[in-house]
Amino acid sequence: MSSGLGTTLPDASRPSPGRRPPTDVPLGLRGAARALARSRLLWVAGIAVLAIQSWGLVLRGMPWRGDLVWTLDWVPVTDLIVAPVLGGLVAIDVARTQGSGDVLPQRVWRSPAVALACLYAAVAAGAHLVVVALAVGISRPRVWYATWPLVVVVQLLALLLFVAIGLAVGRVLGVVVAGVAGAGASAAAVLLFSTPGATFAPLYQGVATVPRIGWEWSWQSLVAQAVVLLALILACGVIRPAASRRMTAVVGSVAAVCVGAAVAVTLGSPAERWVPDGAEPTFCGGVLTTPVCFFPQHGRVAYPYQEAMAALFEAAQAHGYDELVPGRVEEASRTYWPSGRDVAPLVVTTETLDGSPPSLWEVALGMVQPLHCERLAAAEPPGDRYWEDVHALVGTWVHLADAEEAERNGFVGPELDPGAATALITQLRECSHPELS
Amino acid sequence: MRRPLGRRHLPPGLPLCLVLRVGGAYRALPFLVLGAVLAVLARDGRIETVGPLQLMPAMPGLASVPFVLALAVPLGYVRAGTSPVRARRGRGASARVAAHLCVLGAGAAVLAFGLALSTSPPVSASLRNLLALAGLALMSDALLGTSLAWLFPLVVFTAALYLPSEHAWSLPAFLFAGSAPLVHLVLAAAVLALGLLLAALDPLRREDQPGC
Repeated sequence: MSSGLGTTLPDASRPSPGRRPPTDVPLGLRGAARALARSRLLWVAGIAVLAIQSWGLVLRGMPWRGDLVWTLDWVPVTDLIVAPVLGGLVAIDVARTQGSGDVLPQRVWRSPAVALACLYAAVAAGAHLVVVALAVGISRPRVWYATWPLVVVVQLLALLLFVAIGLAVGRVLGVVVAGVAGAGASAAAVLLFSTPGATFAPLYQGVATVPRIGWEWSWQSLVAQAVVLLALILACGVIRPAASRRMTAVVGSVAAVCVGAAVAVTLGSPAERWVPDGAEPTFCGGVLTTPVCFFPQHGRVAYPYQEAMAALFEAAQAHGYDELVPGRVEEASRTYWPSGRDVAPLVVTTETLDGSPPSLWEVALGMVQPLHCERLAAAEPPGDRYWEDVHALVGTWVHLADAEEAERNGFVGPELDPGAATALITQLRECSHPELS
Repeated sequence: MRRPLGRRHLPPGLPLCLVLRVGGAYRALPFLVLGAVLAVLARDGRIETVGPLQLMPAMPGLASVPFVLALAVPLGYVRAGTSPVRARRGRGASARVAAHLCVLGAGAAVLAFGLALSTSPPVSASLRNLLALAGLALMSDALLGTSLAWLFPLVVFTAALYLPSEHAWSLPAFLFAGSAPLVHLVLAAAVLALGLLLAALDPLRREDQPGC
């Protein structure tokens, strides 16, 4: 057996810590219970998954609260730590079971290494499900999509892949080197296969720091991801030092077929993880006399936005700038943009979802900028006059409500009079501004 | 009659390869070679993304090579398995520390090789990371065992990717900044000193036991 212990000189009189008697294999329920009671590493693995993923949840002010898509996509954000820790621990424990040579001729599914890996998989999956339940409990999403169980399945399969990588490494290396090699291999898998690009990334699980509103998961993409992960798990699971040349050929062929299937599915699958959900903002309330609608997922931040709008609308009406107040405000999403001459869009930012209140400037700018105009989507931005006009209009409006806030954002005047402001806001809403036409 | 060739009784005049094998150099060698390859590849590169995460600001590629080299430090020493009496002697502890320092020196040489190839060598950042990560690896080795020597450096290194880096004394600023002020180098040296101290104290009393 090749082993990290191979660096020591052979000495039959001493029992090596890597060798256990053959009875010490976690086969069957009793064996599993024995291993659970004895293996400290197994407990460490479960607690590590629980602790690291819970720590990941509380990072950056928990902006995902309320949004199911973002919540579930946030849970595996710490995979970069979980993967090497899990892979390394499994590899060490599996390498320890490899000491007794009599296990080699056993069937793949009866080997102690596979039994041990299954235990690790169960413990890691249990810890992950606890964190998912915790996240969903904190998030209390108001909108559910039918594909969510599939997302959790894919997350569990990703954890299983890390365990399987540890299993494969632990079977071929000795205890000391297996730990670092298993950790390295799992980390490499995350680094290589979790970055989305033109092609499908099997370990990409939606990590993002921007709101996910407007999207739901694409079930085709999730099914493809699950198939690829299953094939890779199987490939890692069958790799083992075989007792005969024939067995080596069988193991090699099965692993090659699995990897080939994974590559084929990856190349033939849709790269898009999400599809538009087609939802419109339905969580409506009123600010003065203007209806303001949010997506239900963002209902928890509606109040600070309504407060800011109330300040802006009151100031505009008190100073004769009534035209600035839109007939209706609707939240925009990644796939929905409110249209209509008198409807102003509102973009809920990550900073607000983190917990900091929106600034008057940000809210006014969102309502003034005519992002529905085609000219703004063109490659070349509009000329300076457009930006000066928008700045003057937003500055004037914010100045009416809070002069200091306007100055902080670089507005030093002159203010537009009500007539000029009315003309300008009409031009912007109708996309008839000289720079936009 | 000749004594049997065991780890307790190394006869004089052993072949060099056997000394290297018993001493653990064979186990450290793959990490040093990997470090050298990475140093050549990353000599002028900058790391902007790690998986799905972005590094702000980007980290010099050479400053990440010490992560591999640091792992060689605890792995490059195989427990001699001496008697409890001998293991508690100061000379044994100092020999352990000297062995770790030898591998650290080899790692520093590999790093120097990479720095020599670079057009804008991040000397202080690479040195800081080598000292700090080797110290963490030694602590992990002393407290958890050699098979888990990678755990502390890995968790600290990857956790830093998730933390905000605005403050000069934050963990990401300490590990990823392109140049290290003197105080950071002193801190890294202190981490290494603590690691070496733990290696000398041997809290798991592994020197008393056979194997690694």
